[in-house]
Amino acid sequence: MRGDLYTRYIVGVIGALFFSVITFIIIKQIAFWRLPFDRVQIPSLLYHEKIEIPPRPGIKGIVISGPEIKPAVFEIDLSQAGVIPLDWNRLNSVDPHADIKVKCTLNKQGRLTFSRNDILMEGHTEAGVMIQNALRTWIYKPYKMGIIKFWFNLPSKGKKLIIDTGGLYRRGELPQYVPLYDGLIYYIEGITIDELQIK
Amino acid sequence: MAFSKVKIKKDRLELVSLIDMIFILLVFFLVTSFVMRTPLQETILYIPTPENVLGRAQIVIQIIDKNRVLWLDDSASSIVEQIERNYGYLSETRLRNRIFSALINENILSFSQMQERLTLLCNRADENSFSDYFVLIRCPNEVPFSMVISIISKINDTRYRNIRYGCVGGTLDEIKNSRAIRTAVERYRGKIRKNIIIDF
Repeated sequence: MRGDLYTRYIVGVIGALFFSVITFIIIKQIAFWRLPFDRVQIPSLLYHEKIEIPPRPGIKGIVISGPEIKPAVFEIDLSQAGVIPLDWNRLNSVDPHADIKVKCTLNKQGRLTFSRNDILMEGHTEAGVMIQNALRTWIYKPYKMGIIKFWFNLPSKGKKLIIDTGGLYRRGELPQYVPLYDGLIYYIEGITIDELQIK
Repeated sequence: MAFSKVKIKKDRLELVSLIDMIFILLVFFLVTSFVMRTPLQETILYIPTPENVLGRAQIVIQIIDKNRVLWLDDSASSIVEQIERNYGYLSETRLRNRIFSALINENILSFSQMQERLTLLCNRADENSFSDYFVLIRCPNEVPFSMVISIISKINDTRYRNIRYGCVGGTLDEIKNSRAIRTAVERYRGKIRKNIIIDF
């Protein structure tokens, strides 16, 4: 008698398990059928069958993708002929105490222009001439205009070159929607980042 | 007379029928799982239904009649931009008409020319698997749908299937009588583009 009860119990348990599994599968199956296609998750084993849902075409209007607008970078145009770097080590060896300020105007052509009055170089003529000779050759990409100031302070223990770009403004010819970033605004060989400050 | 023993039939697990049932169910679920997966695979080829929003596309092919189509792609942006710059003082309607005329003049193709362009597009798509194109095909009701099918067949003939498409009904007059045709700078998926917007 006891064995019979045991067998019945086992059959009942197996039956209950079986029907619960079947119910679970049916519920999941119905839920799966009701899912929109883009919500269907395909197991990783079947990843190769993954389907990309194409965008649905709109009928309210049409947006035709135009050419990509690349950001403009304001920097010295090294592709131009005659652009000469300033040799920082040579400048240090020529006049390690040089304290020179240059106020330059960046013109439409992207060239730096300055007069005698724009350069303060008392007692450091040789270094001043060296700096001027380099600055005159620099040609910037024509995205900005205005005033740019260079302060060469070689004896300083902190920043030895400070470039003030606060007087530069974006040129009107460059549409406002074009992002503009600053790139290489000095062409000096041998200077380290620690010695330089750009304002 | 000896009493015969009453045989009490014991409850037993009917293993034969249980295994039979399990196999039937196994076959059933195997078959249904394949049936379930087939429509998913078929969706690769399905034509997505339109929705009432602005439709984005890199290329718009407006079928005019059996022999001509209007092909608009990113090169049309410069045409629209130039007219906006030169004739910005015109009223919205006149500006739209001028833009429409310019687009018609420069972008009408014969069916064979369109096929050539589609070939070029397919070649470009085949060169780079990461490139992704979406072509919007607009077809008026009076033109046989076989034209659309031929375009879709051509588009589908790519190695990486990276040209996708959408089909909507529409005529050239709808573009002509749209509220505005203009350019707009938009940031979409991290890229800034000067897009043409045709607002119906």
